[in-house]
This record gives sequence, structure tokens and C-alpha cells, in this order.
Amino acid sequence: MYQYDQLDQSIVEQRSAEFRAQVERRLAGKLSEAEFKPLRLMNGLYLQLHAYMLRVAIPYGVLSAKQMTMLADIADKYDRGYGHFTTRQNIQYNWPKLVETPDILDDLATVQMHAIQTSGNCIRNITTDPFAGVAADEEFDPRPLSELLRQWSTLHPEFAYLPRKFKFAITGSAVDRAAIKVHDIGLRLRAGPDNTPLTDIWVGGGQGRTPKVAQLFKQGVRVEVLLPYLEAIMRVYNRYGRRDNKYKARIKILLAETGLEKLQEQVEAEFQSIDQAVFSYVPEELKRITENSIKPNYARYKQAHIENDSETTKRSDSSAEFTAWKHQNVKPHKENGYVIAMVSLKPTGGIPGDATSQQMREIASIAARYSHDELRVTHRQNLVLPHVLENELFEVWQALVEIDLAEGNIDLPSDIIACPGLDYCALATARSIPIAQAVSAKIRATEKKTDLGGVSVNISGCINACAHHHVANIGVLGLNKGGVENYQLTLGGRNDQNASIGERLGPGVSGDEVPEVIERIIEFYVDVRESGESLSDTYDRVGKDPFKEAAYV
Amino acid sequence: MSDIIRLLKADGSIDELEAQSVSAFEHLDGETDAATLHATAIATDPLVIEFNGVADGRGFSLANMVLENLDYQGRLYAAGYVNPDQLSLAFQTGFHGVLVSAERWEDYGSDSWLTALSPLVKLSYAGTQSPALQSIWQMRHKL
Amino acid sequence: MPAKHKQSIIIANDLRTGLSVYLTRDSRWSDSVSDAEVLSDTDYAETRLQAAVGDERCNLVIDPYLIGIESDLSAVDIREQIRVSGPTIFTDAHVAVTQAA
Repeated sequence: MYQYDQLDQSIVEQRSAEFRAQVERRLAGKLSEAEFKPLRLMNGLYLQLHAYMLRVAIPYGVLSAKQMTMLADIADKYDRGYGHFTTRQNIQYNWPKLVETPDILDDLATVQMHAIQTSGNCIRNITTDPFAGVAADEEFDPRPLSELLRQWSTLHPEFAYLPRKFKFAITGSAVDRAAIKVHDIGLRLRAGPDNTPLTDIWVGGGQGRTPKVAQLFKQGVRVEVLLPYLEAIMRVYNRYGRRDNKYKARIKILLAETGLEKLQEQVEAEFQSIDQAVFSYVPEELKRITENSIKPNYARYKQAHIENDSETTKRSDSSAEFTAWKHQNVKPHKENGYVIAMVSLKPTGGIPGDATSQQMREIASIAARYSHDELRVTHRQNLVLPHVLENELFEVWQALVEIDLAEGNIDLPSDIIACPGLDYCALATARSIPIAQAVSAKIRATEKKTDLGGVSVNISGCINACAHHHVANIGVLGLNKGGVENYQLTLGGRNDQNASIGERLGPGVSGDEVPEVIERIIEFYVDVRESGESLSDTYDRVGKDPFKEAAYV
Repeated sequence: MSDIIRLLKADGSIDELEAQSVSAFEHLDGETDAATLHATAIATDPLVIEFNGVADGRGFSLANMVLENLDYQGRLYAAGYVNPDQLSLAFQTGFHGVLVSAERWEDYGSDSWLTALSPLVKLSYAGTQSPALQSIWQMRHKL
Repeated sequence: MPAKHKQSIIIANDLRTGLSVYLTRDSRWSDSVSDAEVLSDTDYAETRLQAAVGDERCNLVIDPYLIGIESDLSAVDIREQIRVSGPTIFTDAHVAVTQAA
């Protein structure tokens, strides 16, 4: 984990002090709401349906135990005892008061955290593979580059007023767990000749009302020249991206309207004219970032903890529940003897992505005791204990059972992504959380009997698609039809290295009908699937009509 | 209301005299193409880049093109829709000054402008072209 | 909105807390919908809304507007219903499971 130096610390403190002064001016009436709104948004403070909402950045989804404990403390001290983890690997609080927000930012700064650029027309929180640095299949650890990009994009004066928000994602594995192809810019870090890292740059992916899969824009960019190349893309976007219509302002529209080849030419010309000497510090800065990062000492930990191993293994063998959880939630680690343990924030019938302050505090202490002090947040709104000794897995599971976080449903249909929807969000057209709760409650029992791996369900409460419904195997989009909530279904989407946009299945249904329609779709898939097929694979093979027939009875 | 125009400078000073002469120059803005920008930058000092709206950040990119890519050595000023909370961004980007109309000065109030102008210690990691302000990366690596 | 509905109330967000507040008969802002002044005359509703907008200019509240209500004070529109009565979700997962069964 990267550790701030004094300069990093001064950035967050400076920003916090600046926002405190802005809030004071707002409360004193020196700033109108129209003037204040862009300032509060740049600090992650929205005004939602019931209250303000504060979105706190969790850069590339990495958290220390101490940071998670602070998030729990903030939930208790300033909010209503819970937080909501989001698809950008961030956390949102639903009830903060404007007058207390500067205090929250000060508290966050004490643990090297902030809410900078979690909203507004700027470069948002950089996201990455939640298994970065630990995945058994990883080619390059994307975290140093993620930190470099976090720093580069933080308060970059040229890119604070872009045409629209801008999202980056990075992965260092062939299996894409960061959904890079549905980002404005997706970076795939891979091994070049002599094992030097190269980046493939994908541009123009995105969701919302015009979903697009990114196009391969530039292959094999050396890390030393990546920043000037990205600045060239950002500069061309900043100059030519549309500012007349916010729904046409993302880079995906600029790409579609300009054409790939012409946009590449414009970027190349800009790249050639940028003084690359300005970026000569990049290798040194990457080295510094790596050196200033705490690395888990696996060897020492193994030596100290290996003795209690045989007994635990024996006990764990006899627990069917543990075995089922392990089968679903535990993933291979690059270090021998270690595993990655995923913590589902999708209990049966629960609110996707929510955690109570008590759960946050307990999971922090589990991470401190069993996972080298570290946690990750995934874009599927779950948590990860990234370094767990396999021999201690049973103890970890027992501790998770105690706090109701031992649901073994990772990557199953009940591992639903849901946005806050009309229960909280001022932009939503329909509710999504209660639908997710009902779907989860209905299908969890089936999951325990039948293998339903390879079915993802994402539920968005409006066309902005915060829950990524377009790229789910089963996507649900909540709309408002003549004053009544109505839900459209899309099938066949994917968010991995084979990203694709789902197709609309047919007419919308009522909220009450959604769980049974989804159940029928899943039943049909189970009936006709061939070995190893995900629901989207089956959909591609058999086509829309049979699914449609099965869904609507 | 007077029609005085103020030139707010990166060093924290306000120059009303220079502002009167500068305001007569032809202004470039976000719509300006690269060729015109290039030609104007060679022939003109000071160069004025107009911001057409508070959310219109194109002027920041233009400034970087002029300073960084064209190696412009003259004075570079911003005009139009730059508000007090954007003043530091303009200076960080490398603008030497920001022209503020009497109307905009009154709209935000002298307090807001003077506060924004006084202690200029805003930091960023990258993107700083100002000779007076170092970025964090410049400080770390002594560029 | 007011023209469509027989009765309406004025809702806004409190500047300091962000919470939903309602304009009362004596021109205060209350966080309880039961204190809201019920407006049944369109012209009068418009006058009251102007008063509310005045409070926005004085930086007491943000974005005041009229919402249509039924006789039991519940909002006509689903968005406003949820805004008035709070999130409809089951905070206890076990309750959600029971409900779904």
C-alpha cells in the first residue's frame, strides 16, 4: 500500500481547508447555491433526494484497516451508522450535514483519504483490478501506475473543467476484472519484449444512455511516455469534446463523431508537440511510489502462523457451509500458501454494497489480524481480504459469520450490483435496491442447489446506468412510465475482456414481476446451456427469441 | 459602477493601468484553431485567451499549448469567465494574469477576489507551467 | 405541478443539514410534513412559493417547489412520496427475505 509523504498530505489538508472556507462563505450567504454547487461537487458532496451525500474516494479500491476503521467512525459520528460501497470502488454516506462536511474531510485527511474529484467534470477516481498485486494470473501489478495516475490527475489545473466526467480503469491481467472496456480510457498493462511493461490504450467506452465498448486506440505505449500520451488525449478531448449537450459530451461521442482514425491523428499530432522532457521524472516517481509502498512480508507471517495449521484444516473439513463459501468466494493468490478471500456485501435480501459501521470495524480488525492490514473494494460492490494464509481461512470465515458477512455468493446471480435508485438518488426514475433485495431473496435458494456461476445481474434505477446494467448478463433498468415504475430487461452483456452491451429483451415489467422474470430466464439458461457457457454465451448461441419466450409467460 | 478593468497578476498584485491597454487586444478563445493560435503567439504580446463560460475549460488547454508546445515567451493573460475559485488554476496553468471586468469584480465582490489572490499556495502534482509555482513532482524530483 | 393537483405543499432542502423541510403556515421550515401548510388555491400557492424562493435567496433552503398531495398528506408522485417518507428499503435483510417468501 502506498504511504503518503508530507507533500501528499499537504494536498489533502490544503483541499480540506479550502473547502471549509467555501462552506463558510456559502453559510454566510456570500456564495449562492449556483456558485457553490460546482465547488461542493468537486469535493464529492451531492444534494440527493433526502439529504446531502458525500462520496469518499478509495483510490483504486485499496484500504488499510486503519482507514476502514475511520470510515466506520465517520458513519457513526456524522452519518447514520452505515456506508454504501460503489461501483467506482468508493464509499458514499447518505446523510451528512453540510455544516459538518469540512470536519469529515479533516478526519479523512488524518488517514490519508479525501473526497477530491469524486464528482464533477474532471478525472474521477482511478479504478483497477481488485486483485491487483495478488492475482495468480497477473502479468504486471497495476498499483504503482494507478498511484502515478492518481497523483497526475489530482487537481491537474488543465483538466478541472472538462466537457464531462472522465473515468480511467487499469488492469494488469488478461482476465479483465476492472471492466476497462467500459471506461473513457481503459489501460491494459502487459509484458512487452524483455518483460518491459507496455500499455494498450482503449478509448471511448462508457455506459449511460449511449453505451459503447471502448476501441483499441494505441498499442504498446511505453510507461515512460504514457503520461504525455494521456495528456494529449485529454487535451484533444478538452478542446473538441462537445459542450453544448451534456448527454453528448463524453469522449465516446467525440470518438464516434470524429472517427477513430482522425482522432488518433489529432492525438498523435498533439503528442508530438508536447515537450516530453517535462515528464522525465516518471521512472523515478514510479520507483519512489514502489519504495513508499508497504509490502506484505509473507515469509515472516507464514513462519509465525503456520503452527496451528493441521487442527484448523481438520475442523474446516467437517463444515459444509465453509466448503461452499470457500468454493465461491476464495480465489488463487500468487503467493504459495495464500489465498484471496472475497467478502460479499450481498447477504440474501440485503442492500447491495451497504455495510454497517460495526461490520466495517470488524472487517478492519479481521484485515489487521489475518490479511496484512489490507482490504480492497471491488467494482461489484464487495470487499476483499487480499492476503489470507490458507491455513487461517477457516478462522476468517468464522469471524465473517459472526458479522453476517459470510454469504458465499460471489459471481452468482444474487451478487447483484445495484445503484441507490429512487430510494436516495435525485436523478433516479425508479427504485433499484428493493428490486435487488427481492431478486436476491428469490434466487439465493436456487443458487445453493444448482451451479449458477456465470450469471450476473445488475440493476440501475435510471438511464445513467450507475449499476452497469448494460454489461450484465441480465441487466435491469428502472424507468418511470406514466408515473409508475417500470423495469426493462437486457440480456447478453459482458464487462470483462470480451465486453459487450446487452440487448433489450422486450416490454418492461412491473417491479413485482422482476424476480420471477429473472428466475424464468435463469431456469431457461440452466436447461439449454452447454458445458462452460455463461448466460451471455448461451444467449449469443441461441438468440433472443427463445429467452424472450421463456421470460414472458 | 465604474467600468474599470483589473489585471490580477500571479504575484498577487493588481494592475489597472496595464489592464486598460491589454483589453484592446484581439482575444483568442476555445474556438481558436491550432494554426491561428500558432500564428498569433508568434506575433502578439501580450496574448489574451478568453474563457466563454465558467465551465469552459478549453482556455487551460490553450494556455498549455502556447506555453509548452509553442514555447511562447511573452505575457499570457486570461479574460472572460474566470471566477475567484478558478484564479489559482489559471496561475498554475501558467497565465501571468487574469483580466477581470468591473461587472465581474462587482458580481463576486472584492473580498472574494482579494482572498483568492492573496496566499497563492495551491498545489498539484502535474500540469503546473507557472515559473513562480512548482508542482509537487517538480519539488520531489528537483526538475 | 400545482395546477394538476387539488392540494399541494412546498418542499425544499435545509441548507445546513440537507434534509427535506416543509413550509409552514407561519412561514417557518419544519422537518415534519405534518407541519406543512396545505395549499389548495393555485394563486395562493404561487404566492407562497415566491416566499419560499425568497428564503432560498436568503440561504435558508435550497430548491423549494410545490408537490401535489392526497388528502392524507401523502405525495401524488412516487418520487415525492419517497422523498417525504424516506427510503422504502428493508434495512434488515431477514425482513426482506420474509417479505419475498
